[in-house]
Amino acid sequence: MGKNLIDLNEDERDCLQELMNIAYGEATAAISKIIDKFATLNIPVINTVTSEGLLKHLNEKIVENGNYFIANQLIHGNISGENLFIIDEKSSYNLTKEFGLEDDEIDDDEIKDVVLEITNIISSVTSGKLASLIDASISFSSPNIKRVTNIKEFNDGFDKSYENIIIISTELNFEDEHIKGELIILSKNESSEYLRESISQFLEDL
Amino acid sequence: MIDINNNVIFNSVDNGIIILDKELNILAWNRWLEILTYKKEADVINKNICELYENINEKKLKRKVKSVLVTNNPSFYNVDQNRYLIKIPVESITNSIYKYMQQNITIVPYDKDKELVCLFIYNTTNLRETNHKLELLNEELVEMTHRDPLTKLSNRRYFSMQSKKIQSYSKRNDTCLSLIVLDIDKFKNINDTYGHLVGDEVIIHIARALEKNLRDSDIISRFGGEEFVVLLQDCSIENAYLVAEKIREYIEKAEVIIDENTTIKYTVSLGVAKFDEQKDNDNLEQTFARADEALYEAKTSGRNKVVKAK
Repeated sequence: MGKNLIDLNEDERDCLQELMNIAYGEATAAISKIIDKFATLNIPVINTVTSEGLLKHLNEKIVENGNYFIANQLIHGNISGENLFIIDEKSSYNLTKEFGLEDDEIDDDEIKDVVLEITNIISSVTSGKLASLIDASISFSSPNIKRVTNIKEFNDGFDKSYENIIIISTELNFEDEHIKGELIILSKNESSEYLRESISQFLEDL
Repeated sequence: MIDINNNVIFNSVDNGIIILDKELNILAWNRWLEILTYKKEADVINKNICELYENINEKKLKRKVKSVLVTNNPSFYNVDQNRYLIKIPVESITNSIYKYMQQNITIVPYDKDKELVCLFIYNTTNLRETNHKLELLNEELVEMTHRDPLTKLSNRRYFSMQSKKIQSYSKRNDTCLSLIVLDIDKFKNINDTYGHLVGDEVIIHIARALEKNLRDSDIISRFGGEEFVVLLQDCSIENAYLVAEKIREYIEKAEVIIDENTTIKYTVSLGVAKFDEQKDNDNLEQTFARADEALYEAKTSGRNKVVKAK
């Protein structure tokens, strides 16, 4: 087993950050086009953590008795793993309105549908762009969603074999609303090794 | 119309396949759909899918098609409310949970330049039926784990789970939390005189009396035998005492009708305590212990009374 993501040197880490910025920027542009609204994206804060670090991060983020949606999408191929998108209830409601639904049309199912759609867009475009930048081939399963009110509900089904996790925290700014969401990219060791080698090759080719 | 009729996969696959333009006009319709919808491809070609199937949310489908064309990635229609896109009756005698075939839809890019997408329709009826049955069984299991079978009140296990959540909410919002412990006076006499079935009637009677005299937000639980515990959210010790007194009076005046000639009157004793972070060492079990001591005092000092904990 080679080095994992956490062991990236400074140049490799900067390179990953830059690649993720490009990939995430592409996802924001896609959202703007799809809903015909100008959306901007704060420069994402990117952290690489272990599964233990992720649980600690989520523990701080998911306030007891709060309401969150966690959508997940499996990624297959050279950089296989799983993407999670976490959004709080208020942001998801605002997002649903940005997708053109009126107050009286919005219910739990509609919110879930919009969160799934945004997850699919952000996850597939971000991972797809990253894959194209490093010459990888990937495909996606349909995303799933669940509502959680505490960290335990997430912990119960958490696979601790994901040791290399990239957390991208950002805020989508639409014309009227600020929507906070977080994309979490989980990859297993084989994929992380592929990603690390690809980043290294990418730097050599520059 | 796109000529893919001779494509073997298109017409032999066990899924529905539709090719749509970005305005949702149908350009291809495979044999699976022809057979199940009784609509020939020639009958649906160049028609808007939303005009053919009024259940389809046009705004949503257009958005998903646009999403596929912009991102060049698949989009999925798998949220619970979208149980089907194309209305296809389920003709099953043995399984009748769903009237129409349950479907998952994947939309993929077909021709980006011509702005065409392909819809794959998967039959998920069997999977959903299995899930539905599992959900029902799960609900039953949760009910069995959390409810007292005789009174249908929550049991001690559920009370313990809920009280932890309520305690942390109460601490965060700086609100009072009080507890009432209640026990039927001389319950053994009722059982010995009238038998256990009548004893059960009295237990059920008290459960309904508690529900009648308490708020929806209060947690009422049968701890076992003839002992009941109530957790009152956002309630001071003074108010908890008044509530306990109201319950005591209500039960004192009530009668349990057994048959035409028999009615039973009974009384209860109650102990009341307020959760005190320091006194109780941040442990609601200690509050319960103090309320239980107060109940003991109510019993030993004559019964049919409410005593506040020290």
